[in-house]
Amino acid sequence: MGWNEIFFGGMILIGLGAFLFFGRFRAGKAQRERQSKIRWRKH
Amino acid sequence: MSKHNALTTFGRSGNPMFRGEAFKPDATFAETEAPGRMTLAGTVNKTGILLILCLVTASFTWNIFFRTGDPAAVSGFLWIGLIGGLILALITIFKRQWAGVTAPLYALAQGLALGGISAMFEAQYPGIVIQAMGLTFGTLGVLLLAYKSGLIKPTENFRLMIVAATGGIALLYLVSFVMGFFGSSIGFIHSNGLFGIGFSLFVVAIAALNLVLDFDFIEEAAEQGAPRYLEWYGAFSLMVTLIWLYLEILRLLAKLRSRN
Repeated sequence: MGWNEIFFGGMILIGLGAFLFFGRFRAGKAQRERQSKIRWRKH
Repeated sequence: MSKHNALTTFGRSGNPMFRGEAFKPDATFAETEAPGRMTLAGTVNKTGILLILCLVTASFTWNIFFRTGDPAAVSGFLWIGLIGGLILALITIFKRQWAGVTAPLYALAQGLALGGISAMFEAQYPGIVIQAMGLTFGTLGVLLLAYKSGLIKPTENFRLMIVAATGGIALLYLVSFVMGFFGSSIGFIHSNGLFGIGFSLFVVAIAALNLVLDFDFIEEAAEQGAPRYLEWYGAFSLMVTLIWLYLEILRLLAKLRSRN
C-alpha cells in the first residue's frame, strides 16, 4: 500500500465518518434561526 | 426585472430535485404522526445504505473489467446502469413517495455504470479512482461541517445561483451530447488545456455547492417533521449530487494527469 492509498483512503474514512456522525445532529443555532433561510415549502 | 421577480421566475425552475412540488405537498407535516416523521439520523442511515448498494454493483463491473481487460465486457452493464439510473431518477423525482423502492434501485443501477467507468479510468491512470473517492468524501465531510456550524449559510440568492449554474452546465452537456451524433463537440469541455481544466474546476465547485442545498433541504424537512419517505428522497438527492461530484472530480484528475 502506497502513500496514495493511505492519504486518499484516510480522506474517504474521515469524510464518510464525519458525514455519518455529524449528519445525525441538528445544525447550529446560527444556521437554524436566521432570517435569510431558503423557503423550501414555497419552491 | 426586479430581484424579487427574478427569484419568482427562475427560482422555481432548473434543478428538478428542487422543483416546486418537491416540498409543497408536505405543507401538512403537522398532520403526520410522530413515528412516521423524517429524521436526520434516518436520512444519514439511508444514505449509507445507498452508498453500500452502489459499491456492491460497482465492484461487480469493476471486477469484470479487470478480469477480462476488455471494455466491451462491461459496456452492456454500463449502458444498463446509465439508462436505468436515468429512468429510476425521473421516477423518484416525480413520485417521491416511491423513493423507498426506486432510490435503492437507482443506487444499484448507478453502481453498475460507475464501476465500469471507474475501472476504465483506473486502467489508464492507476490510482486515480481512490484519489477521486477521497476528494469526493473529503468534500462531503468538510461541507457538512461548514453547513452544520453555520459557516455556509444558504439563502434564496445562493439557491438561485446554484440552480441556474447547474441548469447551464446540464444544457451545455446536452448540446455537446447531441453534437456528438453529428461528429462534432464543444471542444473545451473535454480539453486538458487551461480553459478545459478551469471549466472542470467550475463544474466541481457547482456540484459541491449542490451538496449544501441537499443538506439544507434535508435539515429543513426534518425540522418541519416531513413524512418518513422523504428520508429516502433526501438520501437519493445526496446520492445524485455525490455521483455527479465524483464523476467531475474523476474527469478533472484525468485531465490533469493527461498533461504529464
